[in-house]
Amino acid sequence: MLTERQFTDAAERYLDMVYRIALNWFRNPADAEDAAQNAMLRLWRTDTEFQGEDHLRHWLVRVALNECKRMSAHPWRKRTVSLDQCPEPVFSDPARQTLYQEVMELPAKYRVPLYLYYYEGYKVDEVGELLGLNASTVQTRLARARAKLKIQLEEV
Amino acid sequence: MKASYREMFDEVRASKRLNEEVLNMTKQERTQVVKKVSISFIIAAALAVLLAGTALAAAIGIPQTLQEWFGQQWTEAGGGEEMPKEQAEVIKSLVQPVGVTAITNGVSVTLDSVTPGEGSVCLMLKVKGERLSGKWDFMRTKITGGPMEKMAEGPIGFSSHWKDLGTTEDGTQVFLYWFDAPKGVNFLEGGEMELRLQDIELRDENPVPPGTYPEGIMVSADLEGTWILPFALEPLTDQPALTAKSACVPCTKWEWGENFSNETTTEITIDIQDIRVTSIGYSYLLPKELVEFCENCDYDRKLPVLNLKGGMAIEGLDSGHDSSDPQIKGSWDFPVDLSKVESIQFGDVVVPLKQAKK
Repeated sequence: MLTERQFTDAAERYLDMVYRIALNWFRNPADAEDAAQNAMLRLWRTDTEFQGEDHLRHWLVRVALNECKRMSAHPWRKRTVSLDQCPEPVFSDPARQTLYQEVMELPAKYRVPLYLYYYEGYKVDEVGELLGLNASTVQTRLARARAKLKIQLEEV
Repeated sequence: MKASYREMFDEVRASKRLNEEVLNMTKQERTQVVKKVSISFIIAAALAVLLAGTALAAAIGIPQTLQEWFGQQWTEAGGGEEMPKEQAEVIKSLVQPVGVTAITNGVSVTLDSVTPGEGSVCLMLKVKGERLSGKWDFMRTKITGGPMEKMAEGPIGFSSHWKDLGTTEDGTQVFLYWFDAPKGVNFLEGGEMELRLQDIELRDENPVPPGTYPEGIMVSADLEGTWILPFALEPLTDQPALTAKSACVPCTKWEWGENFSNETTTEITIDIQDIRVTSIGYSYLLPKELVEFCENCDYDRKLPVLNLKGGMAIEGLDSGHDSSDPQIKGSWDFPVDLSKVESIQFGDVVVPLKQAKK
């Protein structure tokens, strides 16, 4: 079980990561914040003995994904929000704002593997293990996401 | 693309509010299930109001009172069937007119009427202001007084949500605002209360200047002010009720292991106790296993449906719920004439109801 100090340190290091995973899943910051909060609550309560930094990070990624999946299936999540209604972060560069919009227009099944691979640096087989997908499926989704992004960015 | 992708997500961060919520978790006992602020409800509120200026609805059909709104809900549930006199009387008796207005900074807010319930209180608000033609939202809302004084001690979060009913020809925007009862609060007890709305963000009028480094979602007040709307809730604690002692109802249990391939969902049954149905809502007690913290599992409850004689079914709405509280409370789409109620249904399980002994 984490001490208060350990939990605070972990939250400072990984809350952004957990939030970004959930944002990629839901696209909607409100749901992403709920999922991130649930995941961090599980970290505070868990009695898992973490074997090191990688173990803790991997555990949090897994729990965040599980929270997203569980929330997606919850009956009260009927109030879906269209992309137009989702508040967006504000970026320091308009090009980043455009890229964010293009990424968020991708289907969720492309967004999440893309984030885990490109941002968190997981290998294809690790992304597959986290998402319960074959490595070949992850490869295909990454390729399609890249292709879609390229096309969409060229259209802007 | 990898570099630009990473640079872009470097700027996407959890909001200051989420950071504070998470760091505050350590102030609570681990063994207790923490009262979680349902952030989605709060944001949903903002989103609903955000739409106000853009979705200009036809003036015709916008309800002007809660009574009219509930009447529309009845018509929708009944497929256009004419409302019986007894049903109309129930709605009329449970809508409490208020009619108080607060004007600040050129924005007028009227609290038209309220309907209290055990699990939430429903308020109809009318808002008008010249600068509210685009996207906007109230930045803070608070309800105090009356039964809120009995709120359980400890870290308490609030959940609430808004519904935009449309804009009338004179530019008045009509909203419903539901505020869910925190643990220990029953709005049927009545009392002198106060709704406080604070500061407005005009998202169209004052976009964040380029170059501003974000901290989650930027929030700044564009129209500062406080709208204080006092109202008195009449006590309704002697509401007639229909009850059932217990029922075995379906529920989905989620369990997961190291990754998704280990995840299982199981349809289970749970024993719920002390089922109580009033004209306004319902309540029941969860079994112990659904209240205890489980690291790798969770439960999805079925929302109840109220079956009326003649075949009409009315859907139940969930109120925000403290996961450490075994009591579940919720409301119906509109106040219901109990003499027409036959049963409450969870999934496929129909539970007959009896008149409660006085």
